[in-house]
Amino acid sequence: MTPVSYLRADSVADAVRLGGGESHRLLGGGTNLVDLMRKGVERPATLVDVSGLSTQIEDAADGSVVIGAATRNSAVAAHPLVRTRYPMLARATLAGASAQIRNMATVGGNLLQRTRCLYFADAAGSRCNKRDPGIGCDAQGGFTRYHAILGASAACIATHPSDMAVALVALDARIHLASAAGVRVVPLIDFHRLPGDRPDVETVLAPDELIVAVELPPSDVAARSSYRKVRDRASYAFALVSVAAGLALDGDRIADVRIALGGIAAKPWRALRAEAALRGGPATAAAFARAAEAELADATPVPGNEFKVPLAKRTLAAVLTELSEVQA
Amino acid sequence: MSRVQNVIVGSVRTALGWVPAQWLPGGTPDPLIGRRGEVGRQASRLDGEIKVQGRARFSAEVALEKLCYATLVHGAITRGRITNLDTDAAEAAPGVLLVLTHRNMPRVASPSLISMTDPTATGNSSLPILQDDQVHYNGQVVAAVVAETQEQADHAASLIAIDYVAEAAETRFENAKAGARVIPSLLIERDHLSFGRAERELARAPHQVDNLYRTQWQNHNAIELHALTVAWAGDELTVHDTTQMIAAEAATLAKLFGLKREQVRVLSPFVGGGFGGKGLWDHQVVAIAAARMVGRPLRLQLSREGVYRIIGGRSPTEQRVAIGADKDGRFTALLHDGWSVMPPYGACPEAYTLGTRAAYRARSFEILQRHVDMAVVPNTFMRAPGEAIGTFALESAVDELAHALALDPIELRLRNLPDKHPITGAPFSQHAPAKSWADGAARFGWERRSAAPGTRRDGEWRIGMGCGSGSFPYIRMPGAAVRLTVRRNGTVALACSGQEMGMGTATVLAQ
Repeated sequence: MTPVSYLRADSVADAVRLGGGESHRLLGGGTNLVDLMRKGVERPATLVDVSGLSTQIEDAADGSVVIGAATRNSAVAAHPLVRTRYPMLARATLAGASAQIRNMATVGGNLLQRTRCLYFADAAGSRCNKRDPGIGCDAQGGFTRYHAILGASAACIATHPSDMAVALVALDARIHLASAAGVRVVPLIDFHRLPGDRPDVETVLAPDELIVAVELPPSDVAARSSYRKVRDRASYAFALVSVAAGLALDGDRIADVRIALGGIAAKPWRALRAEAALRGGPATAAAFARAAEAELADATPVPGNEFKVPLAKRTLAAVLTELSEVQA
Repeated sequence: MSRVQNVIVGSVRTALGWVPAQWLPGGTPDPLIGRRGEVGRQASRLDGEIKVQGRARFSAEVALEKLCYATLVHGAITRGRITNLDTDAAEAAPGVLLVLTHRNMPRVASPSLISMTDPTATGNSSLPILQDDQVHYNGQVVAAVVAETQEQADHAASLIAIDYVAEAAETRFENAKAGARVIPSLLIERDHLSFGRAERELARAPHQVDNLYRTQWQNHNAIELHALTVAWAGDELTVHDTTQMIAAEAATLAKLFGLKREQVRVLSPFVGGGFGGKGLWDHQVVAIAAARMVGRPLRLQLSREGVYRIIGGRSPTEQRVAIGADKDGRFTALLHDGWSVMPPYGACPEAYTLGTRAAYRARSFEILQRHVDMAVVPNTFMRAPGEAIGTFALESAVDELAHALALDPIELRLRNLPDKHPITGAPFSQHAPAKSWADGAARFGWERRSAAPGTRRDGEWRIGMGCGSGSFPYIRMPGAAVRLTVRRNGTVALACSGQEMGMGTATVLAQ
C-alpha cells in the first residue's frame, strides 16, 4: 500500500476546505474505499475523514426526515423514525453487507460507493473504462452475472451495488451537497449518472462538493412498502435484482406508487414507466405484470445475464402483488 | 488412477470376499462399541481455556528472534509467459531483504501429487513453483518479497512490474466440457460402472425423472489464513505451519529440500479451520526457500485474496441424475453421471457419484464421471468431498420422483433401501437407514408435513419440511506410526502425530 496522508474534518466547513483536491478522497466508514486502496484501484494522496460530521436523524418541521451523511447504516436501520415512517428503507439497509460493515458504513459513503464489477477491481489484470477511460472493458464477454441490463453503454455495464440507495430513490430522497458556495439540493434520482462514454464520472457531485445530508420527504406510499432482494446467497451477497416499492391504494385502484430496482443499472433505477402505467389503474397481478414488462422493455442484457430480465420482471410484479394483499 | 489399480483393488476385494467377515478389520462391528469408557461422555476441551484467553499459539503467531516477513505476488494473466520482470524498485524499497522470482529461486522439484497409495505424496499441484517464466492459472505465484516488516514487504511487492504474453486459456466450464477426460478409476473405485441396461430401463419405466444439477465453485475460507513461520538451523528445518497433514508434509518437504526425514520438523499444535484446504501448496515451498536464502526465520501469511488465488477449492459440477421407477416407486434404473474439474496438474477428483453406488437398490445402474481441464488453481478436497454435492443431486432427484408419484418421500426411500450392496452384492456390516428414517420422522414430527408446497406460512416466511440422506465412504487410510512407552513406574505414554483443527483431538485422545 502506498503511503497516504490522513486529515480529519471536524465541521462541514473543514471538510470543504480540506477535501477539494484532485488526489483527495473523503473517508466515511472506509468499507469500500480502503478495499479499493488495497487493490490499487484508488490511489489517493490524502484521506479526509468525514466520519465525524453529522450523524443526526432529525424530524424536520415540514414532516420530512433529515439524515446526516455520516450516520452509520446500522443507525439508519434501527432508528424509530425510519422504522415507522419508511420501513422499506430499514429493510433495504439491513439487506446490505454484514452487520459489521453496516456498523462502519455511512449514508454518504453508501451513495458514493463504487461498483463491485470484478474487472473494475482487478487493476493488475483487467481493462476497465471506469478506471482508465478509453482503455476498454473486460466485463464485456466476461462474468456478467452482476452486470447491468438497463442504462448500460458500450463503455461500461457495471452496476451500482447499494441496497439502501434503491429504497432512497423510491422514497424521492433529496441529497444535500455542500461546497464553499453553500448548500444545494439534488433529487437522488438525478444524482447518479448513467455511464455513456464517461463511466468514470458517476455522479453530479462537483470535485469541491460533499454530501452532508439525505432528506426524505413525507410519503404516502411508505406505509405499504417493502424491499425484496434476490441474490445468490441469503446473506452477504450483492443483489442480482432487488425491488423497493410502495403502494397507496384507493379501494382496488392504485392512488400512488413508487418503484425502484437495484442490481440492474449503474444507478439505483427508479421505475418511472412502471409507475406511470400503474398510477390510477387497478391493483391486479395482471396490471403489475404489464407494468414490469413496460419497465424492462428496453433491457439490453449481455451474454451471461439474460436471466436478469425475467427475474426483474417477476420480482417487480411479485413485490407489488404482495403489497396489494397486505391488510393496511 | 489407472486400470492396473482397478485390477489390484478388484482382486483384493475378491480375495477378501473369501475371508470370513470376522477376520477382517471392520468386517464386524467394533467389539469395543459397547464398552466405550470415557468416549461419548461430556468433557471440557483441554485447550478451551488457552484458546479463549488467546494464549493458543497459531502458526502466524510464533515469536522468533530476527523474524522477517514475506509477501507473494500473484500473476495477473490466466495462461502465458512472463516477458519482463522489473524488480529494481522493489529491491530498493525500504527494509527489503530479498525479491524472489523464477530467476533466483533455487531449483526445487514439485511435490508428488496426493495419492491413495503413497501417504507421503501430499502435493495439490504438480506445477513448477517459481521455476520458469510460465503462468498456468490466474493468481499463480510469480514473485515473493521478503522484508523486515510485513508492511514493507507488502509495499515492495506492489512495486514489482511484470509484463506478460497471454495465451489462450479455457476458464469456462461450459466450453471445457467438450474436452473432458474419463480416467479409469475414481479414488479407489472404478470410475465407470454399468450394471444392467439403465438407459433402456429408464426409457420404458412408467415413472421417471431426468434432471441436471449444477453446483458452483466453492472456496476454502477458514478463519485462520494459511500461514507458516519457518526457521532453518544449518540443515535442520523447523516449520510452524497450519496444516492438516503434519507427518506427510514433513516427509514431502524433506524430499523437496534434499534433507533427511529427521532433519525436518513440522509443528502444528492448532489449525484454525482446515476442511481439506490446509494441505501443501506453493506458499510453503516459497517461504522455506526464501528463509534459507535470507538466512533468517521468516513468516509468510497469505492474504485473504491469496487464499482464493492459490488454494484450490471444490470443483463446480454438472450432474445428471435420472431415475426410472415402476408403478410402486421401485427403482428400475439409476443413472448418475456428470462433469467436474480436475486439471492435469491436479489430483483431486470431486467424487460426487460414490454415495450413489450404495444408497439405493435398482435393477440397473449407469455411473460415470468425466474430468474437465481448465486453466485454474487445481481444486482439492473440501469438507465431505464429492458426497456433499453428489448427495444433493441424488436426493433432489429422489424428491422429484416422490413428488411425481405423489408418494411420501421417506416412504419412497424406504421402498428402495438395499439389503446388500446393490451392485457388487457384498453384505453390509452395518446398515441402519430404515431405523434412521423412522427415528428422524418421529422426532421431527414428520406426520405434520403437508405434501403441497408453499402451504405453510410463519409470518412472511413460507416454511416446509423436507428430508434427505447423506453418506460418506469408509476409507481406511494407511496406518500412522504410534510410539508406546511403558515406564518403570507403571504409567504408559502413547505418542502419535496428529492435527487439531478444532475437533478436539487432544481432548478425545486423552479420554
